[in-house]
Amino acid sequence: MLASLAASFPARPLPRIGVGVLIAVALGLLIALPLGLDNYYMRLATTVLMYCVLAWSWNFIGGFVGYPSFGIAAFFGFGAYAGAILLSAKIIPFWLSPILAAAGCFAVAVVIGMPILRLRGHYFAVASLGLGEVFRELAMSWTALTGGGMGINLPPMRPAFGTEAQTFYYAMLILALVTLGTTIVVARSRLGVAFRCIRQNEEAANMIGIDATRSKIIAFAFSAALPGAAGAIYASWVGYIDPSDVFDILNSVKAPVMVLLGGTGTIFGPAIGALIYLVFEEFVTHHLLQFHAGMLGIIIVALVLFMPHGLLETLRRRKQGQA
Amino acid sequence: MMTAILELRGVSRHFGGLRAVNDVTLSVPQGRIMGLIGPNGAGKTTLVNLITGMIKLSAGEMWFKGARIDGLAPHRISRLGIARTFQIVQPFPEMTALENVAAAAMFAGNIASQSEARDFAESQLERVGLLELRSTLASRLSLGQRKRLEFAKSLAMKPSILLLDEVNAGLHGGELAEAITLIRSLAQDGLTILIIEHLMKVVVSLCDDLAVLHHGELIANGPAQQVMGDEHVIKAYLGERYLKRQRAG
Amino acid sequence: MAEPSDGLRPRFLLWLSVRFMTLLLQNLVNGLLLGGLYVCIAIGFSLIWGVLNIINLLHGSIIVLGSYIAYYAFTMFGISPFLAPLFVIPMMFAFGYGLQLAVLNRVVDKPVLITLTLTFGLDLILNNFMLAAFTANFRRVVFKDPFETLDLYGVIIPVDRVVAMALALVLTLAFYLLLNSSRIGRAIVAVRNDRDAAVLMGVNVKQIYAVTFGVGAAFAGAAGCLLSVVFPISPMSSGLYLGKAFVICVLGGLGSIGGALIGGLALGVIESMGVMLAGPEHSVLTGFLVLLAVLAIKPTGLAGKRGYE
Repeated sequence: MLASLAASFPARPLPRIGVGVLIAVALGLLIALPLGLDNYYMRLATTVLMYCVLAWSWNFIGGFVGYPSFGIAAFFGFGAYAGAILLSAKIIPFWLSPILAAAGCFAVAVVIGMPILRLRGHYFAVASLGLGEVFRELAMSWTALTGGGMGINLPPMRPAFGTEAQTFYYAMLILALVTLGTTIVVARSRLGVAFRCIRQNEEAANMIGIDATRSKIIAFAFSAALPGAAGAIYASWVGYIDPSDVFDILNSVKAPVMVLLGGTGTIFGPAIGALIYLVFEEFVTHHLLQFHAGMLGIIIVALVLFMPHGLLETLRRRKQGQA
Repeated sequence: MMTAILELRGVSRHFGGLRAVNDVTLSVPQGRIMGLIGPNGAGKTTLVNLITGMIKLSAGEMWFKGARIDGLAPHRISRLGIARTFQIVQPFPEMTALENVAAAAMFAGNIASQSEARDFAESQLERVGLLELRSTLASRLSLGQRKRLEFAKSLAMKPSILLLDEVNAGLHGGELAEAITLIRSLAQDGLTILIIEHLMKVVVSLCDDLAVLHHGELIANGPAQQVMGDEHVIKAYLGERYLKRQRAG
Repeated sequence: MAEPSDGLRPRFLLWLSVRFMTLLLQNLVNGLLLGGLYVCIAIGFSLIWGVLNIINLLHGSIIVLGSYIAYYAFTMFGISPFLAPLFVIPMMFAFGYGLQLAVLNRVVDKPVLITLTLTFGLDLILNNFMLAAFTANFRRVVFKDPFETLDLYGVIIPVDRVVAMALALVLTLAFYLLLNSSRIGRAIVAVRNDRDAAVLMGVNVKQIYAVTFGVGAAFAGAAGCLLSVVFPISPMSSGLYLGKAFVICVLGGLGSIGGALIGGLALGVIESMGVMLAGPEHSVLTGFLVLLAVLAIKPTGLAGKRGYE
């Protein structure tokens, strides 16, 4: 099981031209997508991209380094509030808000990472989970800055081109590509090697000259900055945020669930997991108004029990078994 | 007097009331093989853990190549050129033999380029005779092979001193002979070696110098032949009976 | 001319210091009364964590379920919540036993991420079920003849809380006796201390896991019964209880009854002192900061890891 959680992406030699063409086609499709979609599907597409960001971001600390983090909600919410506060003060343009939110989350993650990354296993998991609760409480009680439980209304955005929906779609697309790019670069860099070593044996990693503490903090900060940027875009997109929405503990669990769904160990696994998850969420759980969280619970339980290697891997194995 | 590459001055480590290592002052001379021996629980592994920074000193100082190293984090110490093997081998199980060694070359060995690190790692694997198994996952290697992998990892760190903690334990005849040859050839290349060893055969055939720990204290230290003849050592290490038998003989 | 004020000032200071001492004592008493209940919240959680190495994210919801059963037994049949543990304990034991046997035993050796995610999913189901069945409205147990409060030299002592705390400590004692004197308890301890050795001795580990989870759930339910007298009941409270259980385990050390006892009482006192100093809205924050402080000093909790002795 641990091996399957290993999100190591070995640099396999691939046919260069084929890959180039594939990437160009995929990018073209993603860029052209808004032309063919109505508002409802635009919202879904933007949400999928946001979920991709969350899943890939989680993968840095949870997949590469193997620390079971449930801290995504903390930084998603932090970024959302940072963006909302700066935008409603009208001191920055929209495009700057995710960048500043990411920078803020990065800094906060570095400071908080120092104590909590000393913890392992359950202790780390719960400390990271508690982080979101603490941030939520701060947002609740720091009324002067955050509006407390009343939340924040963001000023309407005037898009530079296209519609508002398209602006947010492209913003999320750019962020998703940045996240994907960071994932690929890190996976193939020295840092990626350090992450992999730490996951397998932290003490031995130290012994071969890896600064495990520093590496873990960097991974944690990546896992914080990117969701922070997503939170800032989300805040502008929905136009109104409050603590229980953006610090929702579900966001912290969604991210690892999406990665598990898509299967770990590949770059696009988390993205596929995000897509599958959204399909579930949109077409199954949202129709069960009274029981949608419970339905999500049933999906999670089924996933963990029957498809611990992810949906795709399980299907592939079944096919192999038949062949 | 030979120059000492590693110097311990009054090094102690206490765990609660237990004095695992107590006031040890020891110079490891450059370019030689020093054996660190003593009965089980004498504090040998603790001493190695102290040198590599895995645990902190309670008292004392450690100097390496003229610079003070006590208090440094383990990764800093390893980058200075102190490499160790573990009593229980600790490879990265989900990485191939080559990736294991390349990682060591990349970080402690300070090779920035990944392809150069791989090349260097291959040469180290060849040195320990594991080149054919470079693409095998570390978890699939036999114990003997994993020990050799541990060696290659340490060598890839480009160390000035190698701390070998019971590197031969569990090896059978042929493997043991190979390991001894390997250690000797490393010493001939100028590497300083501090070896914790239980097998007297290995100690006798390898070590230039010996340091003997007993209940955390250094009870003897010097050229191997001299230390082997020391009565304290024989008593502590081999027991009274051996001493009597020697005298009788 | 200054004489009257000279006489007044010491008297004023005396009055002030008595007031202060009374306030301090009041908060200490509140804290200890609260802490007794916290002990009861934490022991089941600590047992499951210690023996199964699973953080049971369902724990808070099981406590709330216990509260609801006690509440409905009270409003529908007039049974005192203080007696509710008598039937809630077997009910929750059966629930926990079945859940472990059917579901959790399949992941018990998996990494933390998997067990946490699974119990989170289970919690979503149970909590959503309660939300649908009982709604999010806060409910209260209101006695026809309210319990009195005692006034000891200015320190107010609510009798219902004292009874709840006393029962919580009785339950804790029962828990201790169960683990130390019964055959099944010894088996649980054996599995916790050395699973492989227990297997060699012929202990059916899966069975023991199920019993352990059952016992943990039973005590969570019993804690819920007692809490129903003191706190309003809602599915929304489950996260709060869960968080407290975790903080207590870290404070007192994982896996020992003594640890839960110390941690629970300590958290109760810390919280009520925190409320005195910082106001009631920051109790979660206070708990978390204490937790971070403890973990920063000792990453395995104050008392470290020890077996059930």
